[in-house]
Amino acid sequence: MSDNPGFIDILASTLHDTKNSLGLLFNTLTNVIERCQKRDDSLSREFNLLQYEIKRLNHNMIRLLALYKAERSQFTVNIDYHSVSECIEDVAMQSEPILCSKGIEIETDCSGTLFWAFDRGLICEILDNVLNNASRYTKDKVRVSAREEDNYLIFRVEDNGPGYPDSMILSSGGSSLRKKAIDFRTGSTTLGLYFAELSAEYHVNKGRKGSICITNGGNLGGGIFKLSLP
Amino acid sequence: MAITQINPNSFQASIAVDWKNKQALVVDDFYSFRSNVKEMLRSFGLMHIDEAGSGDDAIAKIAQKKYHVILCDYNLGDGKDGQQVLEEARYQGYVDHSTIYIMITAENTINMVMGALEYEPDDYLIKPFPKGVLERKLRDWVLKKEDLKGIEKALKEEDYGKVVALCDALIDGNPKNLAQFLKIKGESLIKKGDYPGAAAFYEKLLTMGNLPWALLGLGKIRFIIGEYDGAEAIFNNIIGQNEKIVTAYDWLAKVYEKKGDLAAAQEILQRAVSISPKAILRQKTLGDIAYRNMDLTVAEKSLREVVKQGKNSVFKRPSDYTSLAKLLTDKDNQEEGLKVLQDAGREFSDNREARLQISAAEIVALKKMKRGTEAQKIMEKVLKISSQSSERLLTDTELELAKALILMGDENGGNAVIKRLIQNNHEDQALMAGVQAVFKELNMEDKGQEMIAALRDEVIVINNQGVKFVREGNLRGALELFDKITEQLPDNKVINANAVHALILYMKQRGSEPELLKKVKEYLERIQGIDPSYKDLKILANNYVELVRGGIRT
Repeated sequence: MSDNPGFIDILASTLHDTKNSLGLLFNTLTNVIERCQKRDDSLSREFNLLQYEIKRLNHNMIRLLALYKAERSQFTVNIDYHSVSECIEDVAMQSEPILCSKGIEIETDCSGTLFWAFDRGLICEILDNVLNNASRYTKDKVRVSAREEDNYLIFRVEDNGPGYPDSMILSSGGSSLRKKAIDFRTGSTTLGLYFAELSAEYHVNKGRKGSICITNGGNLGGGIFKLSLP
Repeated sequence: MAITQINPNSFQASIAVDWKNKQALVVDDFYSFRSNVKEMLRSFGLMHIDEAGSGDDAIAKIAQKKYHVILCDYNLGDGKDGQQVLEEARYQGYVDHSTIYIMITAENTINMVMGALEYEPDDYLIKPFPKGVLERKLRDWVLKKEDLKGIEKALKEEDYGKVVALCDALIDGNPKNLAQFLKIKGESLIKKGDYPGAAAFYEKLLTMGNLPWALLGLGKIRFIIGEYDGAEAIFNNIIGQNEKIVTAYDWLAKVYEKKGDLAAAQEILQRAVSISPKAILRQKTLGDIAYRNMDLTVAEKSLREVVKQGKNSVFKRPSDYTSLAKLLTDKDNQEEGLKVLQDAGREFSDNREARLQISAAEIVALKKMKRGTEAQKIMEKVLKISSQSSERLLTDTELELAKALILMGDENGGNAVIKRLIQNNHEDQALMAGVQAVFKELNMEDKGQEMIAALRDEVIVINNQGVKFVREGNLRGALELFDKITEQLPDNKVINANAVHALILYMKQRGSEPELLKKVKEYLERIQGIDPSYKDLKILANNYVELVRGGIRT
C-alpha cells in the first residue's frame, strides 16, 4: 500500500478547489452587478450570461464531487423538516435575475402549510439546476410547484418550450439513467439528471425511495421535470 | 392553493424589519473586511454597528452591550477564534438564543468549524458573500428570533412545561421554522423528565420523515432510562445514515462507557475527533478515556490538544494541565511534566483553586523525581494559600491536596481530609473512585477500601434511620436525629436535604414555626453552597417558599 494519493483523489481535490473559486467568482460578480445596476444597464445582458455560465460550471463541479463521494460511499444526505414553500421561493428568487433578464416569467405554486423531511441543500441544488436549464430552453414561462401526492412530496418544474428530446424522456419506474450511455455527439452528459436521480434515491423513508421523471406536456405544454420524495 | 406571481423585488418588499433599532457587532481581524460588512449593514438601514478586531475585544464588547446581531469571522489571527468567542459569550450568559450569531468562514475551513460539541452558531456564511445573501439571511433570522422571545424567557426560568405549551401554540400556526420549535419541544420534554411523552413525540415525528435529530432524541431517552442496547442501536443507525453527525458519536461513547467497554468508547471518540478535531470538550473526554485504557499515546495526543485549544477558551481548566503532567510523569517524562505545570501556574496565576491543584500536582511530580526540598517549599506555599481563605474548595482539589500531604509525610493530616470528604459525599461514586485511585497510587489500596467502606456505612446507617422515622411518621424522632447528624456532617448535601424534607413535612402537618423555618433556610443555603445544581434543591426551596408564604401557625 502506498501513501500517495491516487489520481482520482487529486482530481477530487482539484474539483473542490475549482468549485470554491467559481463560488467566489459568482459572488464577486453578483456584487459587481449590484453596483453596476445603479449606473448603467447596458452591460446587464453580458453579465447575466456570465452568471449563467459560472453557475453551470459550479453545478458541474458540485455534481462531480457528489458522484466521487457516492463512489466512495461518502455521499450523505442532511435531512431536516422544512417548509416546502420557503424552499421553492428561495430557488425561484435565486434564478429570478437571470430569468427576468431574458423576459421569462416564473411562477411558484405551493401551500404554505406543506412541510417535509428532506435535504434542502441538495434539493435546492437540483431545482436550481433545472431552472437554469429551463432559462435556456423555455419560451417565456417557467412554473415550479410542489404538493403531496400518495404520501410522496412531488416537485414539478414545467416550462412552455419545445420540451425534452425523446432521448431524455425518463418515466418513473423505467430504466435508470445510470444505464444510459453518455452521448459525446451531442455533448449532453446527462450529468445533471444523473445527480438528481442519485440525490433522490438517497432520500429513503420506511423502505421507499425518491425518484425523478422527465416528460413533456402538462399545463404549460413544454418540458416537465418531476421529483418525488418519500 | 395560492399561485404567487413573482416580480422583481417582491421578496425584498414582503416583510419589513425594523433595522434602525438593531444593535450589531462585526468581528474580523481585517479592517477592510469589517468596513465592507459595515457598509452592507448600513445599506439595509442598520444604524448601530460596532466592530471588534480580535476575540478579546469582541468578548469585552459583548459583555457590555446586548447585541441583536453578531457577525464573527472564524479566523481572528492570534488569540480566540470565532468559535471560542461564541462559547465564552454563551457560557458567561452574555449571549442567549435571541441573539443572532453568524459565523463567517472561508470555504476551506468550513469543515473544521462545523461540528462543535455544545455551542453552535445560528448560521454560517462563506466568504465572500453578496449583500443580498447577507440581507436575506439576517431578515430570516430576525423573524425567527422574534417568535423565540417568549420561549427564551421560559427556557431561562427552566419552566419547561411553559416552553412546551408555547411551542405547541406556535407549531399550530405552521411557521416557516417549524423544525426549530419541534426540536425545542422535544428537548424540553426530556428536560421536564417526561420521557414517555418525549419518546412518543419523537416517534410520531419519525413517521413523517427520517429526521436524524428525532432519532438522536430517542437515543438520548433510551440512554437516560438506562436502555443502553436500544440507545446503541439508535446512535449506530444515525451514523450509518450520515457519518458526519458527530453528536451521535459522543453519545455512543457515553453508552459504551456505561456498558464498561472503554475500548469501544475510545475508538468511537477517535473517529469523532478525526471528523471534527476542534472541540475541546470532546478531546478532554477522549484523553480521559484513553488514559483509563492505558493507551498513553492517544491520551497524550488528546491532552496536548486540550491544552493547546484551551489557551483561549472558556473551557480551560487547571485539570487539563495536571492530567497532561500526570501522564508525562507516568511516561517517565517528568521534566516536561513539570514544565507543563509551571505553564499552568502562569495561566492561572490569579485563581486560588487552580493554584492549589497545580501545586499539589507539582509536589507529586517533584517527589517522584526525588526533589524533596523543592516539594517541601511548594507544600509550604500550599498551606499558606489554603489558610488565606475559607472559601470552599472542589472535592477533587481537596483530594489532591490530601495526597500531597500524605506524600510529604503528614499521613494524619491527609487522612483527616479524606475522611471528611468521604463522610460529606458518601453518595458521590466518582469521588469514591478517585479516593481509591489515590490510595492505590500510595500503595495503600487495602487501607483505602477499608476506610471508604467503614465511613460510608456509618453515614448510610444513620441517614437511613432518619429516613425510616420519616416514613413511619415519627417526624419528631426524625427531626431530633437529623439535628444531630447535620451538626456532625454539615457539608453532606444528602443529609441536609433529608433534614429539610423532614422539617417541611413536620411543618405541613403541625404548622410553621419560626425556629424550624430558620433551620430549613440554613440547610438550604448549605446545599446551595455545596452543589447549586443538586437535583432536589429547587423542589425543596419551592416548598420552603410556600411555607413562608402560608404564614406561621395557620
